Amino acid sequence: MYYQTPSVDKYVTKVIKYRMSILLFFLFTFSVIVFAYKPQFILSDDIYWLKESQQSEKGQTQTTDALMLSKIQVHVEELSPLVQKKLQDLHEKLEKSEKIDRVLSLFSHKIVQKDKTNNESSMLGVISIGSLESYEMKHFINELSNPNEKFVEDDFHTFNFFLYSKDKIEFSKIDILFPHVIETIEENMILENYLSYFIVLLFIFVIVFRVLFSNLLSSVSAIIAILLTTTFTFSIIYFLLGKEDIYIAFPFISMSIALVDYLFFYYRWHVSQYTANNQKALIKMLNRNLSPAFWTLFVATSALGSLLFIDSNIIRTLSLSVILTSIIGYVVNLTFLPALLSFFHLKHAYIPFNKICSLLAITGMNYNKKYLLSFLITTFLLIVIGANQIYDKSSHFFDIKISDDPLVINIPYKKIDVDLIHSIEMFSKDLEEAFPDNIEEIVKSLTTMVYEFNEGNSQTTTLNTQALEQTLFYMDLYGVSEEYYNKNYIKVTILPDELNKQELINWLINYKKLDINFIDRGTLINNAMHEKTLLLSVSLFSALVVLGLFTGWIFRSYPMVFVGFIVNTIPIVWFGLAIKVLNIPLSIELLVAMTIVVGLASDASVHFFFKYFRSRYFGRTKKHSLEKMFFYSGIPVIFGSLILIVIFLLLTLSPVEALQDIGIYSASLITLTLISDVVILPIILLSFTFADININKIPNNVAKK
Amino acid sequence: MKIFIFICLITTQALFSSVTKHTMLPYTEMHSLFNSVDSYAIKMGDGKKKVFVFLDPKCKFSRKFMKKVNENPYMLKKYQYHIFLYEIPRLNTNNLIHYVYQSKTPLKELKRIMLENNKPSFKEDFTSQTKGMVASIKEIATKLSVHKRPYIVVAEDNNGEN
Repeated sequence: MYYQTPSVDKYVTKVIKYRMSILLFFLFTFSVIVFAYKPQFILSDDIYWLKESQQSEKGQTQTTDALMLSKIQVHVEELSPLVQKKLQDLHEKLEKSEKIDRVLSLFSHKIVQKDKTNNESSMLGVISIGSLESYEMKHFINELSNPNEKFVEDDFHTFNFFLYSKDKIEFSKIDILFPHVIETIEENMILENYLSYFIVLLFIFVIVFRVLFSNLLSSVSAIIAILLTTTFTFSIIYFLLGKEDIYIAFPFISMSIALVDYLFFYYRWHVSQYTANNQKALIKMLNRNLSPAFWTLFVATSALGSLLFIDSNIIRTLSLSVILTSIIGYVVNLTFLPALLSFFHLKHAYIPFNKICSLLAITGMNYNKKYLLSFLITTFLLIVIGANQIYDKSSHFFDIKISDDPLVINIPYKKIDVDLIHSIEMFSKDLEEAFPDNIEEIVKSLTTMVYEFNEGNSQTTTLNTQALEQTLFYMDLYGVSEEYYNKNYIKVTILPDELNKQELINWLINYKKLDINFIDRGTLINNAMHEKTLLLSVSLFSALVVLGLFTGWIFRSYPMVFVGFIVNTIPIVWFGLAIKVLNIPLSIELLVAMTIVVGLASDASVHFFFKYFRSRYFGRTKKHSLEKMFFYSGIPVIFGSLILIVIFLLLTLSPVEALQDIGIYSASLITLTLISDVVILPIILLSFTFADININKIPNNVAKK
Repeated sequence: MKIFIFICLITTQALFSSVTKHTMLPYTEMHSLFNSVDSYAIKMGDGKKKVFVFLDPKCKFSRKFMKKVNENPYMLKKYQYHIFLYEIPRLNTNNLIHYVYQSKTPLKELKRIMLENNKPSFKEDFTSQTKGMVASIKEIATKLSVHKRPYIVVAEDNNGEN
């Protein structure tokens, strides 16, 4: 408990005695892991979301079957016959490429040449739009402007080619003869690139530490402790979950929590350097941090441990990252760090922040109750509104990255018959009725093709089985079948035009008359995000509630349940408001940032409470207790947060979008958490510990100093 | 008067130039008719799905059809073509059709004529068996209302895939 001071003298003596062995053990273990475990850093969180997608499970036997959508936008000076021929050639070249499953462009449009005559010699024909004369093609496109405007701009200077592929397309191997722009997903990042970027970050890290602590030891030992904790954490995750791929944002969770954990220990050692005896500094470092760090670990493990049983890869990985980092960080700070620091003694260990701590304490003492009450009421209102929005599935709390690219869906079938054609026709009609202003001739499917063929076929009248068989035969003959169906699925292309694609996707998901499968990754990912929003939010909320409950239990005080809950919730809730106002899309980067904050906030709050309660117990005044709380727990939190804010802000300069996002989200959230910890936490603590610390509850055998 | 004639011409054109749709017999009936002459069919392709097709060796669309099928391995693998030669009267191919049927390798001969534009010279001494074959096919074609070439009927049984 907070009033106990564990005896660590013997432990420290043993650590000093075996310090070389301890250091070598860590070095050896680290080397073995680095040699055996070669993680692959991935830049896209798609794989994680795809594995979460129920639609993906429904539509695919393997989630990796989902297709990636890339786009080539080609610009031409003038649509001359030669240019038209080259564009047609490009389409054919893309179609022939082994890695590309499907190409959608103006040139995939086929025209059925009507068998208009009743001549005794005639045959249904199919030609590509590219084989028309340029003026005919323009005329044709203008006639059918709606479906084709996705593929060609009105001025006939810009042509879009949409490519569906299972894997990344090597565009460098495709000879595109025109000026063009390629839009695709960068998936993998070479480890060397990642490391080189990290070297720059490390350099800045050293400078910031040098400014704050006026030595090199703090930064070097921090880097080693963080490296060990992060490496061990992810190798254990790999061992438990068997995943070699690490999404680039995940290590930041481990690094951030490890840094702040390290700072509590190092800082206490640093400010205890006034004594000439280094062993005493080590004893202070351990006996003052052993309990709060343990309770932090306990709280984090309890709050996030239950989330490990949720069937979600993302939640499991995020929770495991925090729990393992806390455990390993604790072990590293209790063994490796004292062993390393025992070699050093600082001559100038002055920390010039006493005045700031006093100032913060005075500000905290003189808070205005009305402001606090208004703030808390507003926060509660935000929680209620946010919870309502997330629970109500019809409204979407998180914005979703939506493009107006063509939407391709698959409809599984056992046999292509007239009934199936009619049900797809009914689907098109239902879609038109659901979106009367937006959908007009924008569904391309086997049904549209069958009717076009049948209309032109002078051999058949109404669409019956024979007419359908003939159509399918002609489609085979002219090589267009592949575009509309394969042996398992009918392929339907929807070309959304100025409509809310998310509404369209929801409508498709809820359409019961046909079994609809989404195949492109973007749509599957969006669905997974929507499907998981409630689960992710409930997980986060339950973690915060558990955090509050354990805080109350640790400090044997009911009001502390509320304090523990609200202090950790405030930054998340206000960040949630920012997300909503700024329409920030849901992403793993956002979840990672929130996980970092839950980890950091729980660390900070337990350390703050511990120090405050302890000081009060030993008879300090409220003001003095706040000062001590700020000096011993506040400074590491402020230093840690400032270092993390600088590092995360630097990430926003990275060329990688995932790193930019994690940078901006984490920097903003950590800033909010810091403000909450420094400004709001002390006054909530003062307001809700009404009866002060009840000394009668403390066992008599606990020695008072 | 000129205006009246013009209107009459336009009306006639509008009425008679529209697509004439010919009603097909139900497949079961067509199937039994095809069965009765199936031994006369020139078979091409190894596919499971049968396609019955009436061609005229000189008809340019029949030739286009033969060319497209013959040059496409997929179409030969998926379908089996049961070809019946049936004359378009204006092309005057009755003797040529008899010649093909009477030859030892009708498919080979048909390909030479239709794909290589070979113009064979032959005597018109066709056997009664050949004449009977051509007549039977003509009779079936009339019952089926075969009005154009190529005229195709795709088997509706469960053999083969979509």
